[in-house]
Amino acid sequence: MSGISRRKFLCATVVGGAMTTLGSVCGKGGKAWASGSFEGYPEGMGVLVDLTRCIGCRTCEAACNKEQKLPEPDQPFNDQSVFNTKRRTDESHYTVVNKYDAGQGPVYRKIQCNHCNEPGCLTSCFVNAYTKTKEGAVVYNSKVCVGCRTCMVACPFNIPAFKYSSATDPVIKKCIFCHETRLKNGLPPACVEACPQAVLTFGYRKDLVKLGHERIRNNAGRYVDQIYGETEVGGTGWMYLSGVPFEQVGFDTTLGNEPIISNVKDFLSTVPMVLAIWPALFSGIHLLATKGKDHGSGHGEDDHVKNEKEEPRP
Amino acid sequence: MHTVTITICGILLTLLAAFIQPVQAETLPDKITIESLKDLYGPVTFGHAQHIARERDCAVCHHHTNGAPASQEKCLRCHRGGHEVKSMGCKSCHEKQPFSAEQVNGKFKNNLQFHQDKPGLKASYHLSCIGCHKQKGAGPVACVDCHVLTSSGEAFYRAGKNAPDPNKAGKTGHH
Repeated sequence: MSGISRRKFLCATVVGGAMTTLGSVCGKGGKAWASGSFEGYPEGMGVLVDLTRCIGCRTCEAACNKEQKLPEPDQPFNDQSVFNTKRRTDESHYTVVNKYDAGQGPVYRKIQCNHCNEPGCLTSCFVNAYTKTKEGAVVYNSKVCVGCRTCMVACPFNIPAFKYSSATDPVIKKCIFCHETRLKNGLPPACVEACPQAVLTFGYRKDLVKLGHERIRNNAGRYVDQIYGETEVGGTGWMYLSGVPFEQVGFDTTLGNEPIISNVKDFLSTVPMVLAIWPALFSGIHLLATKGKDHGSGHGEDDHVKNEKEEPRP
Repeated sequence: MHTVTITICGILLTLLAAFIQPVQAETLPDKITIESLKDLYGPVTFGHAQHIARERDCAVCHHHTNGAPASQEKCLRCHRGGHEVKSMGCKSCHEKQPFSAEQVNGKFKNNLQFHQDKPGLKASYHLSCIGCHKQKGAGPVACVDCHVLTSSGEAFYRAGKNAPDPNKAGKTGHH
């Protein structure tokens, strides 16, 4: 009796172990295929931002405000006093320019959604409110959004902003690459068109990577030999060139090259395995553990029945 | 026969010289008025003659296009002997719509063409003017040094009479 249950247990353990190994092998294989190698849609568009050219005129901010029909700003768009603080994107500003003092002269840095190849916001959203379009834009659908704000935590660049003024009707506000009004019609975003200094170069992402490296090579000493966003978090649609080290002008240089989803992919791949294997494994253990007991209690029951039967006798 | 040919050649050469001379004179404007952004800003007048007198070298702004050797080393690889073009105006090379579908789709399609990273017309003015003025520490560099906002420009920048009410400030979003 105990021989059979041990055989059963060993069998269950071996099967379970095999499946665990298989699962983890598949998981590893899946990871290698899915992350770090997706370079965005081949026809995806992007923008190369050249910080060495920006003069902080804020025309991009004004153009964005007009194109996206955003609320009136607190200060005029030609007011330079906003550079006294480091601003962030919010529900009424999809893009902001900040000023940094980095050695020789001020450096201005425009921030907006970087339209990642594998967006953290998209992969973290459990209602699929985000879409990476074939043109390269990361767009958002407020109709399905439940306002959990996980995307705000998942974004490595702190871009999605919650519309706190309408908390009962949750809406996330962020740059959508002018997808609806321009990008899908083959036009550059409003900020790119408005920029007087060609800080912003619009084109196919694959061309911009090439262009960025050529610009670095052809202007010796002008640039740091890196395109920020070429590989960061799996690559972004908006990429940056800088004349000073990126960390000096507010860039997070510790993000690594893996998409945000890779941080949780290992964990998430174990979830189905845990759900499938653990019940079988623990059922096996339970069977083994209770088989003897069943046997014992069976005897006990028999004894009890015997006793019961015997009880009325005296 | 021989004298007739010489005479005809002579007449043709004279005509050619007469034709070329005034054209060159015409293409050297003293002042250039730029009003491509006239809906936002008043026209900007560029003192061409003033810059010629100061710089004396066309290549500073016009690269290799007047036939003189290029000034930058990266250009010398191809334009050591200069490369004269028909029209030296900025707009003959720098596109008004640098991000049109045609421009964007044509990028890196011609492997023999070096000039893939050419700024558009508006950017070529600004990069050239501001870049040089900053380098030399002379000349206008700030937006308002050249540009006067029109009323639609004020609406665009939410400036002047379209400036936001300071009492309402701080009601939208967080900073």
